[in-house]
Amino acid sequence: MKRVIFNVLLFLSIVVCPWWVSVVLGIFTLYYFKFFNEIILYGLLMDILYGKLSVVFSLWNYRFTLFFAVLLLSSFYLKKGLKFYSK
Amino acid sequence: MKMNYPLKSSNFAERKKMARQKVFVISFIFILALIIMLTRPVRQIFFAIVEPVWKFENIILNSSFFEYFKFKQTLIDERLAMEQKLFLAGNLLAINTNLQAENENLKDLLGRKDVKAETVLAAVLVKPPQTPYDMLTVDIGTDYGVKVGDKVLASANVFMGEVTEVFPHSSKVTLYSTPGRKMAVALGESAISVEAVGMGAGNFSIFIPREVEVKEGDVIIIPSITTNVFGIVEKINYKDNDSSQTVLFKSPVNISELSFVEIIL
Repeated sequence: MKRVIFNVLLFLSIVVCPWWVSVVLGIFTLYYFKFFNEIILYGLLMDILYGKLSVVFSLWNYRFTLFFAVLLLSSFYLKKGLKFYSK
Repeated sequence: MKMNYPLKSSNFAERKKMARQKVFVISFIFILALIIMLTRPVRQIFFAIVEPVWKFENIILNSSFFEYFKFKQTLIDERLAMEQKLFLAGNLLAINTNLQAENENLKDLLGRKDVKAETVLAAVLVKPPQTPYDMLTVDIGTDYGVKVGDKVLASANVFMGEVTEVFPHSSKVTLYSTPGRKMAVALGESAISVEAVGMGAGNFSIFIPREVEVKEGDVIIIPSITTNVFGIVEKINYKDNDSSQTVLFKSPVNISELSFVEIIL
């Protein structure tokens, strides 16, 4: 249930709030849940809605997607080392 | 800080299974993301889902609902300020109308007739700072004949940007002030041709030699037979021993308060 609520909040923040609110909420959600893999799709949503996508495909046009993908992959290693995650 | 997932299991087979599941889920999401990036119809679906939310948000923000919560004195003060602005604007409009008529007559005498381009009004759905880049999303698309490359005006004659992506019922406009974007403009009374570089949020800079005379308040226009104010000089930066100066100017239109634009078809 919590995951659903966070997913709805994240979607609404992307559509209604300034972009940095979505980024902060996304990072928080990524570390609140153990495997929040859908963060990449939210990055993609931000790029599609607000990015300048040209006819020629370029990965650089998908900056939020890349940013969240890097955050997701790095979070796997960071979470192992952080003492926040107790029993 | 208590988090809501279980302890790491000491069972190797179980951990290996979980690791494989993780890799599978992440690979699936990456492939899905790639499909969405490469197929335009799928991207259009995202826009079709989000457009009604933006339109509803615009209706709420532009309605008079919030006026009921304002104090009486605030409303009285606002009304007085607006009446004064309207009076001044009325005078300027009268002068502007006369000058425009005179301009048209002179062009007619010299054998140049202005062919009025067809324009269509569009409501701005999303604008900075909600968007991270200098982009606007407007509420008309191919349904009104909008196409990529169409120029966009604000406040009747201020060029703002160009249409860069079109959907059935919406379009994306990239502003000329996008950081790094260059434009040929004419500076000041002598209409010197210079190159303006976008700095974001309606701000531009021009890098010119010190000998060029320019002052704050000078107008920057786009070279054309019609007069289109592009910007107004705000500040001039230079050091005493520099041979060049940086002119900073901004668009007369406040992008964050933009509600409507005109698209030249």
